[in-house]
This record gives sequence, structure tokens and C-alpha cells, in this order.
Amino acid sequence: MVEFLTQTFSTDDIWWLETWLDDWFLVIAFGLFLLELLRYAMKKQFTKNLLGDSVANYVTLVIFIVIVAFVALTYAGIFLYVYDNFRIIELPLTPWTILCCVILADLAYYWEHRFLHSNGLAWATHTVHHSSPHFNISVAYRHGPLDWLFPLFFHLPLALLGFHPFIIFLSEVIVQVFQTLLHTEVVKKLPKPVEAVFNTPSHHRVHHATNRKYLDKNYAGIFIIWDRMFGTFAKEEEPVRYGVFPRINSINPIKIFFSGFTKLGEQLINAPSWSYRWNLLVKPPKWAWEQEQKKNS
Amino acid sequence: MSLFPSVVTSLAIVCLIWSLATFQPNNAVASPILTNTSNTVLTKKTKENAPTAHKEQTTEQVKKVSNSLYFDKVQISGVTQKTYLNQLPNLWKDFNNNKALQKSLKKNPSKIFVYYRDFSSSYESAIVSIGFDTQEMKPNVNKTNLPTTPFSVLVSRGKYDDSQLKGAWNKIDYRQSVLAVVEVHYLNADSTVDNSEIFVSYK
Repeated sequence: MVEFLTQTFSTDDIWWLETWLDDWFLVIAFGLFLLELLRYAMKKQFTKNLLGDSVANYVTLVIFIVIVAFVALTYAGIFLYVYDNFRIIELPLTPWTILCCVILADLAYYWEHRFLHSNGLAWATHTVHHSSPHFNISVAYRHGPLDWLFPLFFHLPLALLGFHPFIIFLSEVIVQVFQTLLHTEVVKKLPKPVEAVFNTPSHHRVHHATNRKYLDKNYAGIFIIWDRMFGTFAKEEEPVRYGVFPRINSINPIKIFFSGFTKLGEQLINAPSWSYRWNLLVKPPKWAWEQEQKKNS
Repeated sequence: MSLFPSVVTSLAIVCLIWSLATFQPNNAVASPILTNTSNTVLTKKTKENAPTAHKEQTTEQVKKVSNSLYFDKVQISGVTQKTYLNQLPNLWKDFNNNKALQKSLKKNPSKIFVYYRDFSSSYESAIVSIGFDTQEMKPNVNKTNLPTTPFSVLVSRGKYDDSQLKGAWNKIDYRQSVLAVVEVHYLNADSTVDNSEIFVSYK
């Protein structure tokens, strides 16, 4: 076991593993999604809106991939530059290092995800992912325009710590792949020890809920222990209502993709003062919602 | 837990996991692996060939000028990569599988150069070139110049096994900053390594 964990990989091996995982998991996830659709059909829950919403999810993925194609080199270049010039030490390319990096990348993901929910600017992109009234694997691929940007700030310190950028990218992919599998209503609850340590579909349904008691909970990627430790955990106890307020009520992928920034733009234009505008950018989305409620009442 | 203690706890977790990554068992060390079983050129090097007094004259391409040795405009052509030294077998694999390189040879090569430079601070990685002397190759190949700085002999020419060649790296004076290390492996008619020598140049 120790021998396996400390064998040395080449950067090519790591890169191959990352792209293999990234590419093939998309295919596997699409297969699982088709099975989910079949289940909806058998339970007579299949609707035109569900189909339209799912197609829109995959279209947002395509738009997102186009954007990523333009920024990927810069993104990778920043990691490589920081690693080459500012790393504290060099960690070997071993499974042990990958394991440590996955744990730290998961912790970084927790904070990034919490950050996305904590201010209006980041929420403008992340709200897209939450805006579906449905919950299935296609929702995992519902992306916003700046979803590629924020991981940079939270994962870059790993390059400083000496993790090779390819290991960091692989770890990001592993966390994302795990996260993707959580977007399902098929799996109810897993055995207690699993629910205690790992993020599960049940925990992630709570994260996507609009129920008041579930708001801003369960930010975890792989390990739910982060939420349990940092006081952001909620257990699935009552039926979940998915989506965001105000409801988006559209299956137009372009409208969905830009919905967050369109909404933020409108709010900024109609804001009564500059301090209000500032608050729209830095305060949690709940703040803007409360201001609108006050104005309407 | 409120925000500040959560951040502090996270930083503590980062330190813990990072320590585990840093002090992992059999952590990679700065010991170059010169050959491996898949190496088709450097095969058949067994311990029965070990230490020998088989001292031969240093390569004619190294010139001695007032107690310092210099490579005399030596250019090599082969594969170059920034690599961890414990991953050198992968570079040897690339070198041995490089068909275009083999085709560029005029005849059976007489030696292989391994040129290490730009070492990381921990000597775990470096830019490494493995190549043939361009004089033994057809024109128009990519060339890497060996440095013209003074070198000293780390291991004089002779028959050595892998562990002896690895051990030679312990003779480097790491108190000085190492500019480059050059290994020269002399091949016999079967293209197997007959004997080797290693040179070091300090900044």
C-alpha cells in the first residue's frame, strides 16, 4: 500500500488521468441522466418543462466550455507561473501527494462555494446553477459565465505550497466529478457513516433548497465534515423545494446563462445610491432580496 | 463555529495535511536514477561489472587548462525536459524510444551525454538533456551546448554499476551552488555502456 502511495508519476501521467476523467465522466454522467429521465417517465413525472430545462442545462455547459477554451491557457499559465517562481517546496508526483491535494482542494472548494453564496457579485454567476426548479444530473452542468474565475483564487495557494499545477487540476476535477454525482433525487439516504463523513445526494438537495431552514447550508464538495465543523450543516428533514427567488421561469439557455448578471445589472442601474450599489456587490444575495421586499411592502 | 474560528481551523487543517504531504514515506530525494530495465541502450549493466580499476583516459573532448577541465565546444542532441530526478527513467524511455533521433545517427554512437542544470533548491528536479554528440549525427539536428564553464571530475572514467553512479552524487559539494552535472556514458560496439565518468561545475 505504502509502495503504491509513494510511486512516482510523470506529469504526463497526471495530465492523462485528468483529461481521461474529465472527458469520460461527462459521457458516464450523460448515461446516468438518461436513466434518471427513464425513472421520471416511469413515475409519470416527465414533463416538457423538465426536458426543456435539462436541454438548457447542457446548452449552458456548451457556452461555458467555449468561454473556458478562451481562458484555459491563461488560467493554467497563472498556476504554472506561481508554481515555478513562488512555491515554498516541491512535492513529489505521488498518489500520496494527490490524496493530500484532493483533501485540500476539497477544503478550498468549501470556502470558494461559501464565498459564492456570500456576496452579490459572485452570486450573479453561481445563481445560474441554483436557478433550476428541478434536481437531476443535468443541473450539475448548469453553469454561469464566471464559474471558471473564482476557483482560481481559492486553489492558487496550493501551487504556493508546492503541489504541481497538474495535480491541482486533477484534484479540482475529482471534487467536481464527485459533486456532479450528488445531483439526483434517485438516491435517498446512504448508510449513516457515509452520511456522517461524505457529502451525499441528500445533503446536496438541502444545499439547492429554497426552504428557509436550508438556506446557505451544506457547501461541501466531497467531505460534509467541513460543514459540520464550521456550523453550516443542515440535515434533510422536510421535502425540498428547488430553485431561487425570484423564480427564473424560463428554459431559454441564453436567458438562464446570463440571468444572474442581467438581474444584478438591473439592480445596479435602479439602485437609489452608490452605497446601495456597493452593498449589492458585497452583501449576501439575501440582503438584496430583503431590500426588495421592504420596497414592495 | 463563526467565520473567524472557521478560517483559523481551516488554516490548521491545511498545515496538517501539507505536513503529511511533505513528510510522506519514502519521499523523493535528490538521487538521480540513471538507468532502468526498460532502457534499451543502458542494459546489461550488472554488478559483476562492478568497480574496476579500468581507468581510461578522460574523453578527448574535455580539455585541461590549469587544473580545470572544460568541454571543448561539445554539442549534444536528444531529449530535454524539466524533471524530478527520481523520474529520470521516463526521460530515458523517451530518449530510447525516439526513433527520429536514432535515424539521425551517422553510425553506432560511441557515447551518451546526460546534462543536468537549473537544479531546484532542494535538488529534487532539474532540466535534464540526454543526447548523443552531434559530431556523430547528421546535420540539422537540434543542438544543446554543454557549458563552457570549468568542471571538476566527480567520478573518473571507469566501469561502475548503477548504485555506484548514484553514490557519486554524494560527492558533490552541496555547500556550493551547482551549475551543472554532466555524465558521459561510453558505449561499446553493442551499444551497451562500457564505462562512465561524471563531471560537476559549480557557480
